[in-house]
Amino acid sequence: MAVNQGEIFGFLGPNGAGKSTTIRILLGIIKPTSGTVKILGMNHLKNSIEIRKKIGYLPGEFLIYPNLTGSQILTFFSNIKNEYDETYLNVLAEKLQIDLNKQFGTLSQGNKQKIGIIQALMHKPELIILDEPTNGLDPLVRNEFYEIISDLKDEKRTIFFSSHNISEVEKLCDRIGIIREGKLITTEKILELKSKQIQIFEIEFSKIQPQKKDFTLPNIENVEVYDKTVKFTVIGNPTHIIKKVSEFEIKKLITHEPSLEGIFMTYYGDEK
Amino acid sequence: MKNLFQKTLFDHKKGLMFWVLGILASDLIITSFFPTVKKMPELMNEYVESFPKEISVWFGDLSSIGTPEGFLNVELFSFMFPFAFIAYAITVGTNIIAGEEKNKTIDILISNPIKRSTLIIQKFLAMATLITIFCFIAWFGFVLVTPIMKVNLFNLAQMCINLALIAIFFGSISILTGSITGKTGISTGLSGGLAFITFLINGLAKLSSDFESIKYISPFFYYSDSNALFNGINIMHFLILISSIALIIYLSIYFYKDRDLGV
Repeated sequence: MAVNQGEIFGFLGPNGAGKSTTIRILLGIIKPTSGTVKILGMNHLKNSIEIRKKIGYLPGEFLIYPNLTGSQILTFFSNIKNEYDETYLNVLAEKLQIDLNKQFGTLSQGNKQKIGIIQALMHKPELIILDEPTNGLDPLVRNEFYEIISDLKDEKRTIFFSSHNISEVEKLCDRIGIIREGKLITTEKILELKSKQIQIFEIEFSKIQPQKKDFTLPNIENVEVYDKTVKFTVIGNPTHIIKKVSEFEIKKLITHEPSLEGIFMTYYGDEK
Repeated sequence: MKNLFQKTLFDHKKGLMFWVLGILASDLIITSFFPTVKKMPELMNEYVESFPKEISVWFGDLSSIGTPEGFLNVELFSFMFPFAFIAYAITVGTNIIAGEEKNKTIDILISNPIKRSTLIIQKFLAMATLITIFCFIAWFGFVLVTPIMKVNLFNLAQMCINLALIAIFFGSISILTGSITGKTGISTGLSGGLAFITFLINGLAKLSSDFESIKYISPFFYYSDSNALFNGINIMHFLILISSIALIIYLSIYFYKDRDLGV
C-alpha cells in the first residue's frame, strides 16, 4: 500500500479490523512482525525521530494528562516538537471553539478531541495521521474540521485518515484502502469506486406478491421483500432483471445509485 | 514545561507536598518523644531488654536509643523512613513509566520526536530529583527540631543521602519492571516485594554466620552497614549503590527501546 504526497487517503474498515494497529506500526509504537514501512522516503524504524518531527498524530482515543490545561498540553508538545505556529494554533482553537484554559480532565469528550486535533496539526506537519478524528465532535465542529483538513490538503500536506464513517471518507478522501481482519482488501480512488455500476431497484407490483427466491439471481444482492414490493441491488448490467419483472404489471419502479457506504457493503460486506 | 523532566516534576509536585508534610510531622512527633526517653534511662533499659536481641538486626541498635543518633536510627532510619521513602519512590517510578501505558498516554508521547532512551533518562532524573528534595526536607525538618534534640547534622545529612540512594534504587527497580512489562501492578508488586525480601535478607545475614555472605546481595546492607548517623557514609557502599542504579537504568533503556508499547 502506498500513499501519495498531497493526497487524503482514507483507511477504512470495521471496528477491530486493524486500522489503529497499522497506525501504531507506522509510528513505531509497535513493531511489524514482517514487512517494511517507508515514511517520507525514510525507513520508519531507522529514521524514526526524523520522521516523527514531520508527523502530526491524533490517536483514536485522545487520552492525555488530565491535570494539565489545554494550553499547558499544547505548550508541552510544541516544546517537544521544537516547532509550532502560534498563529495557526490560535486559528485552530478559534475554529474549533475550545477554551484552552480548562483542565483536560474536566473537558467533555468532544472538547478533549479538539485539543487532540490541535496538537496534531499545530506545527503543520508534512504527514498527518488521524485515527477516527471526529469521534465525539458535534456536527457543526465536524464541518469546521472538514474545512481545516481541506485547507491542509490545499497546502499539499499528506493526510492518512482512519475512519469507519464512510460518508466522512467520501467527503474528504481522494483514495481509500479497505482493511478487514488485518488484511488490506483493496485500495481504490473514491471516484472509481463510486463509478462502479451498482444500482438499487425498488419495485412495487400491482397484483402479484413477489417471492425472495424469484430474485436469487447472479449479480443481484441484498434482496428485501415486503407486501407487493421488492428491493434489491444490481451489480453490473440490469437488462435481465428488467426483462424478468416486465412480465408483471408494475405499479411503481424507483432506481437510485447507492452511497459509498452502500457500494462498500455490496463489495466487501460479506468478504471473509 | 520544556521537556519530560520538567513535566514529571510538575505532575508530582502536589503528591510530593503531601508526603513532605507527613515526613515533617514524623520528624516533629518522633523527636518530641526523645526528651522523655533521655530522662528515663532505667525505664528505657528495661524496655529495651524486654525485646529479643535478634530484633535489633532489623530495627537498629536498641542499646543506643538514649543518644540522639541511636534514637533516630531505631525510630526512623532503620525501618520507617526507608520504607516510607521507598514506597514514595516506587509510586513515582511506576507512575512515570508503566503509568503512561496504563493511562494510554504513551501513544501520543511516543509519536513525538523523543527517543525512548531520553524518555527513560529524563523521567528517572525527575524521580531522583523528587526523592532528593524529599530527603532534603526530611533533613531540614531535623534542623528545625534541634532545640528538642541535638544531633550531628552533617552525619544526619549523610544518612539522608543514603536514604535517598536506597529509595532511588527501588524507584529504579520499578522503572525497570515498568519498562519490561508496562504493567503498573507488576511494577509496584515486584519492586515492593523485592524491597521487603532484601530487607529480610540483610537482617537474616546478621543472625547467622552461615548466611553472612548473602548480605552483599541486599541493597539494605549498603544503606545501613556503615551506620552513617554515627560514622558518615562508606564511600565504597555509596559507589556500589550508585553503580547499581546506573545499571538498572541501563537495563530499563535496553528493554524499553524495542518493546511494543501499550499492548
